[in-house]
Amino acid sequence: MAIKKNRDSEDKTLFVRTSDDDIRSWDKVFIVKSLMSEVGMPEPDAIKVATEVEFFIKNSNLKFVSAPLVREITNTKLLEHGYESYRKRYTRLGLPLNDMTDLFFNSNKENSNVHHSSEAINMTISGIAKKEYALLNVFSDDVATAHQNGTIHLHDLDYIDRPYCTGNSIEYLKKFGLVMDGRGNLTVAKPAKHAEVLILHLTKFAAALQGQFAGAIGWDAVNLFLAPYLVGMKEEKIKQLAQMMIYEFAQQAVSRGGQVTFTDTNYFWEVPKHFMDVPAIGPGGKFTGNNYSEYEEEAQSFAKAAFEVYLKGDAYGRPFFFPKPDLHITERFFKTDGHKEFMDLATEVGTKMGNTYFIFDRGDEVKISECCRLQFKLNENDLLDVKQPWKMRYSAMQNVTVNLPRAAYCSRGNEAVLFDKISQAMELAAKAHVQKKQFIGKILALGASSSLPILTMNLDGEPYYRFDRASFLVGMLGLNELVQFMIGKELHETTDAYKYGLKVIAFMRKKAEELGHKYSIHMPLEQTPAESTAYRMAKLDMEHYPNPTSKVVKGQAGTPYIYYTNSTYFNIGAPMSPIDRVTKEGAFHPMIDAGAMSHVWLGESQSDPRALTNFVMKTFKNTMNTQIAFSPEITFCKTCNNKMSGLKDRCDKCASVKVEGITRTE
Amino acid sequence: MPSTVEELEISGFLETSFVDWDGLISSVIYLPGCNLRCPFCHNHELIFSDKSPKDMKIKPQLVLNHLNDKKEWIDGLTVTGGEPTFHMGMLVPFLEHVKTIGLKVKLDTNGSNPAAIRKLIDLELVDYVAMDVKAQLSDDKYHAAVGVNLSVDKIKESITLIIGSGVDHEFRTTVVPTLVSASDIPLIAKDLIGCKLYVLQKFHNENAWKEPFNTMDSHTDDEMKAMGDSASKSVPVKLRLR
Repeated sequence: MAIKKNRDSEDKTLFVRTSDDDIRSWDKVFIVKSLMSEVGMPEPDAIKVATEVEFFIKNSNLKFVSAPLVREITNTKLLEHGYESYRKRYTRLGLPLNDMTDLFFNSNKENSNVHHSSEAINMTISGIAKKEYALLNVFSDDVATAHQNGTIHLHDLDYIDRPYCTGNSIEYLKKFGLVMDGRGNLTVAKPAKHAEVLILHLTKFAAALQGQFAGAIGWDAVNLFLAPYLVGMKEEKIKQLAQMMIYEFAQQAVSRGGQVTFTDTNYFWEVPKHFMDVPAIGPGGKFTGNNYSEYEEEAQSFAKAAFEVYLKGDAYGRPFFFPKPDLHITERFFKTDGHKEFMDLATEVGTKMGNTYFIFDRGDEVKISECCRLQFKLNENDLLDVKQPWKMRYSAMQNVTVNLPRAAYCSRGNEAVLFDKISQAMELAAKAHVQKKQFIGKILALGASSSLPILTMNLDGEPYYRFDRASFLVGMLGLNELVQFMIGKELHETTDAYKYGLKVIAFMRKKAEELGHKYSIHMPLEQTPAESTAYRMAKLDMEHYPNPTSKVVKGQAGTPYIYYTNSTYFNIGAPMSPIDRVTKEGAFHPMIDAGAMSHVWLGESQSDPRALTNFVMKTFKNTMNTQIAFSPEITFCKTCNNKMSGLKDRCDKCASVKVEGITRTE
Repeated sequence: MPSTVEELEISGFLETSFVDWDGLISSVIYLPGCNLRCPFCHNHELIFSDKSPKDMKIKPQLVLNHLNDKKEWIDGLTVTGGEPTFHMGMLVPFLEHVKTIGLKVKLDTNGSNPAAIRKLIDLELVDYVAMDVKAQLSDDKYHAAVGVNLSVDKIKESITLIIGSGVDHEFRTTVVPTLVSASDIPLIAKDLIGCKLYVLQKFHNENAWKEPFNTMDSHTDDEMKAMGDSASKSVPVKLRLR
């Protein structure tokens, strides 16, 4: 298309600082061209707008204008002419100068796992642009609006160009070696021959994967898959390897904005039934000739060593935050020698450091864990992978949370309307999933040249990321407040309230299944790990629905510190015994297929680990609860490194006030 | 239910404890009233039974219902106080009910009422006895620690009968500075020879009854460990530092 340059309009004294670090003399043709190519505006309209922009700028007596300013002025002109859809697509993403200054001089307080650093600033800036992009260009208007007004929450929009989280198998590294970038352009390593090298492959590959997923990177049966490399090793050596693995994961602050990789490591004391007859891969990526059932002893030694490392903590005796150890309790666990002693150790780690997550796989259930609570229940199809465990690569592509109290407010207490509102929100969540799936699909379709090259890497006849096997999660926030609004009591207060809660979640599960069929996606419920969502939604509701919100919201009324109770949890402060908590919260868990958990708050008291072992075992036997963790409160003195139980203002040894309290955020 | 059970005075009820009975999940009831006046007492709200606030009264039937409902979980009931052995008339039938539910019973006692301890053991109503040894077993030292005149013969009698009973047990000393010295510990331990466990508990001033104990510093963990070592020459020892 020919564009005539109008030389007359060129102002020799006006220069433009362009986006690609160049200074050019003014030429409105650039505006015309960009309007035509970026948003498809017809040439005459584009010339009309560009001419008005030029007129405005020339009358402003500016010597220099920047490309962003020209774009802002062009957008204003587009709006003046009613070209809203053009303006939307012509918009510029980014952040105001002042916000950037704030980033440099005020630390990031958003995510409890982020430490302030230059890399963290990069993450925040890219996050802002990607989030704006997502809301403008990935999701439809109704979905974006529902997110922005707090009806639903689309998680990790700042990582819109990555799937959400993933479960992986060390077997892939053992069999194919380490291709760090997925393309083979960087140095490539053959399958490891030594345990140390395998552990390094594991930690490096996890960090690389973190660059291509927004959330957790899980590893299945870590102790079992390492076991063929540990044959004949002394306990001391195995302990050293466990220490190395945990420190490597805990200290590699190189992913997502200088954070450590969000890693979950899954442990089994027994050789899980599904892996017993699977041929083991050993040093050099070769089959050892034995099945995994032959490696129970080595696997147990590594598990024991790892939990001993967790118990000891870091150089100052503080807990390791990552990698998280997820201990699976199965029926076979109880039949395996030494389980009681190992459970005592794992419980001691849980009560003193808070690390251990106890995952209950009842019956023939097989699960691997990703993050705070996300679990992948393996279906029949997945179980075929078990025979070739390097195939065991799973993912949830996105997580969307429904604001349940909002649905309740909008229903004005009418149950039929409530379920209708929840259905509408879930329908939007499903649409959001389909839209994200299309977007990620488009990126992955670029193959090796895509921005997710590890995911497109193909070493075993299919891409690393098994696109068609991905799940799409629907979370829920504030069931407790929904119930409180609808029937005037919180979940823990009356049987009616509790049953109402169960009814809502049963409805959501059915609806999720229905929508999954409708949109051809696997859409299980998950308890949202939603520290910040719980605040965001409470804040939005307080603004837009102040009357009902103020009656049920938790936290300090009248301050910004308000929140809704997470997912299907009961009120954290409710005077419930731990038994009632794991039992009643646990009744919700079987309906929440992609993962749920209960926290048992220990506070200050130094509970007896053996009594808690007893409790964990009874939770497995007496409830439907699928996962529990203990949440101790610990204080560290930064002056003398003294460790105290409970949250203290000063050290009880040296009286220093430089103390750091550690507890779990939920 | 006999009326005596309903008359058992219960001032406090903790549904689930992971702290009170090693290895077991227990429920705990607190019975009011005590014959001692230990100035460092942490449960001093319970010392004077007539002063227990009314809203603290728990109906025994509620406790029994809870134990029955939760018997898949709760291994035992810890009976503490105050001094529970001064409620024998009501406590015996109450514990008989607990036993019919099939739960174990742990008795926390100050050891000043050996006849009652003997009776509970003879009736097979207790499975574990935790007895305080407040100080070295001399009348003077004991008097200072418990705030009343009490013959240590009673304490010694309880120690002997508990050790000889075959019932699981522990003796425990809260090492309160000024009342119990490091040099007292091996002497107490000698008086406990033959016992299954001697527990040395670190003193904490939070919620201690009287001055100066409510502001008094504790022994350090290292000092506690040294005392543990000195006692372990005579008896099996466990430290409770928190």
